[in-house]
Amino acid sequence: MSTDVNDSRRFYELAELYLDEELSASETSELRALLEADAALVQRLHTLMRDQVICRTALRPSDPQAIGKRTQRMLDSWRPQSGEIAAQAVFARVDQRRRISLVLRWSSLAAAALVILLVLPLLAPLFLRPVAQPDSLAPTVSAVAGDVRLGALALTAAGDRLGFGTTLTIGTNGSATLTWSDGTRLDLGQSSTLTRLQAAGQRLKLDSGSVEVVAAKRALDQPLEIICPDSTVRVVGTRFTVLVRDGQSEINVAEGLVLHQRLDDGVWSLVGAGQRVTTARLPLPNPVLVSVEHMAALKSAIASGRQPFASAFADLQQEIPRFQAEPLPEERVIIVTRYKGPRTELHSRARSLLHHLCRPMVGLALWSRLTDDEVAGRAALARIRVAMELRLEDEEADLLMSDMLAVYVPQAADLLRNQSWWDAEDSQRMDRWLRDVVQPAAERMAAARSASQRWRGVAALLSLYAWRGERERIIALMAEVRAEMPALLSPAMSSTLAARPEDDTGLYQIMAHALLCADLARVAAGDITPPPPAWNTAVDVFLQRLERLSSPADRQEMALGRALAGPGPWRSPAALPLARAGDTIDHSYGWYFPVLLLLDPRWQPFADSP
Amino acid sequence: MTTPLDPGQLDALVVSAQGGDRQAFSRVVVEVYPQLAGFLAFHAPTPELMDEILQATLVAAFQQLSDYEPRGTFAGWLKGIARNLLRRELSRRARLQGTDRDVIEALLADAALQQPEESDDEAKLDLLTRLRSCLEKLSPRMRLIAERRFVEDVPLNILAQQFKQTRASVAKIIFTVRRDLRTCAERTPGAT
Repeated sequence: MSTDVNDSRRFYELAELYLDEELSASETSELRALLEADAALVQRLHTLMRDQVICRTALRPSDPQAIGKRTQRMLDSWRPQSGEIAAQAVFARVDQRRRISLVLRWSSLAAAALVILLVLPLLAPLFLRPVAQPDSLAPTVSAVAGDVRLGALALTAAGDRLGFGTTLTIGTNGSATLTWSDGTRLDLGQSSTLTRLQAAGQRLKLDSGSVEVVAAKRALDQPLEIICPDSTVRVVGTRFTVLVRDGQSEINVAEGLVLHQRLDDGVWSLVGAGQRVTTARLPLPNPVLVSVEHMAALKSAIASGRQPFASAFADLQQEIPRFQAEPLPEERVIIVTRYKGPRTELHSRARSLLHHLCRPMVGLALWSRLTDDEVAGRAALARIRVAMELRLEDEEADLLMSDMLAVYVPQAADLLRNQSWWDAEDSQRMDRWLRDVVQPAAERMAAARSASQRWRGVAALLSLYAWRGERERIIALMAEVRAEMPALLSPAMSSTLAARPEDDTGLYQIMAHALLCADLARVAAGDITPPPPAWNTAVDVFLQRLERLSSPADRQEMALGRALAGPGPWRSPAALPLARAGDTIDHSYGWYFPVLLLLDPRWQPFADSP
Repeated sequence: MTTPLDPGQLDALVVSAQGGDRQAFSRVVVEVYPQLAGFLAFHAPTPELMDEILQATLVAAFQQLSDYEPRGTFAGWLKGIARNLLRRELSRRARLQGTDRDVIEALLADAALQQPEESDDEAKLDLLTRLRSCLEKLSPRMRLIAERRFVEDVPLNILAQQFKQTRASVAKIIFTVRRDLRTCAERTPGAT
């Protein structure tokens, strides 16, 4: 009998390893020899095992819900026609190492057959196959190389399918390819661990390693998702790579667009072709307003006559001669009185003057990009330079600065700044102007108590952050705006306005600037986090109001309606006709030519996402 | 949480399940699961076999449900299935020969078969309850080891790394914890 302390410790060590099924071949032999030499040790091992079972049973919390779910899974797998039940679907094994994978007949022999099946997994690798029965949409492991495991089963050849809950593990020298019947392909690199989760589409959890995905076009409600430890990537058709290293993901998009959600703050963003994103550094297209890929898609849509892009482009084309003929303002000091004050005409005059400067400025810059028209671009640049020389004075100088110059001038400059003829000095001039003139005014507005003023200031700040590429600041500021919305767009306020829409003066202002913030956050930072429910309620109220107005010529409200037709998830489909009807508007908050600037043709697949 | 059902209520559910009501069967399983697990905890010689038999029993029960006659004995009927499955499996394992692992399994199965048939009474379930109370009496370190090993199934190799000790030392500690827990539970009848 082994009474020596060291022998005793060794015995316990072997016993625990046996429990874990982690004995090496030599250790198994060692334990066998000990047991065969000493019957008391057999009894001791038996007692140890029994105690383990009892402790485990006693101390594990019982979870009736989980038991109920697992039972339901068993019942769901029952096939009444054949009297069969998928034994592997019965109860998720606590011990995942050995599993039953055959189907039991519904017969009196079932219990006996079951016992046999329980034992076979110990003997035959065949029965190491994963528990989950592959569903009709399960991908096929179409290629394997090196060390690849499907659940506990070592794969040496292609052909197996990846069922729900099954893990594909790639060793340090291995690789594998999954393919779906729709042509989607996923290549797993070495040291990768990928599990297929239950979902309407295809949901794959990547714990480590890398995958390269070529996703076929998919239905919106059946996206392909890669769940990383710190983020989620969702696509409906594109080519991209996901790498997880030390729990952190990195996404590289080769074609199309993918939706990316950072789990830390829930921010959703778009990642376009050629962009790389990590959760620490989200992608920032450069230029911000219309990236190279966006512009290519826009040109393609116009060339193919796709609406509403083709007709919006035709409208712009008609206006270009007038824009070029529009004289530059001579005055450099603009008096901006209070809108509802004694000299309101000065306020209106200032707004009109800035409008006649800014609309051609953005229009010419956009035309220049769409048609590679350098002359138009230089004409836009001349207006940008004038805009930066203007000095706004009087009571509502900050308001007009935030409303108009702070958003339109960076927009036009952003459209042009990557052109070969753009002067670096103009970028430096823009930096100084934003820092010294725009930012102080915007910060004063953003500190105001009125939401209408505050969000004007926030929009101006978002514009200058966008120019600087300060994406995280944009996301943080937009999160503040979203957090403020429920209080401002309360159900009580909405119901009051719904009852007496003619009384609305505040809702329009609040919504216009909230929407501008959301648009800026999206185009400049890719932030497409959905709005709070209060926003949707307020949009419904607002659109009802538009329908009840006797004169649809209220241009500002038309502008909002038009803006509401921008890309989701803030978009209201009901507002799209308004957008198309009012594209030649004199003034809007935040956007001229929104059909061309905001309705990204690549967005269609994501209209209702996330 | 649901209120435990008396045998009559349980039978009513079983009858519904026999008539094709799947939700009723789910409810039956939730109800009898703790008793079945408690029963097997004192009869199955290894955790792995306990899991296997637990699952196999429920599969077999579902398949043979129409054979059950509602006399307030459903839990006993289920345990009967479990007992039969377990005996057959132990007998099969006791005859195993060949690899080292086969021999070890055979020795353990033989030891289990030689155990006297213990009565299946409430005292066993009480012991499980008391064992939970005894966990509270362990030192924090021992308790942590117990939770990791018995609740979370953390393997010995990982535990040794986590506690910066040799595998043999941790194995001995685990043995001691198990023994102490059991001794405590057996020494304090009536405690909860």
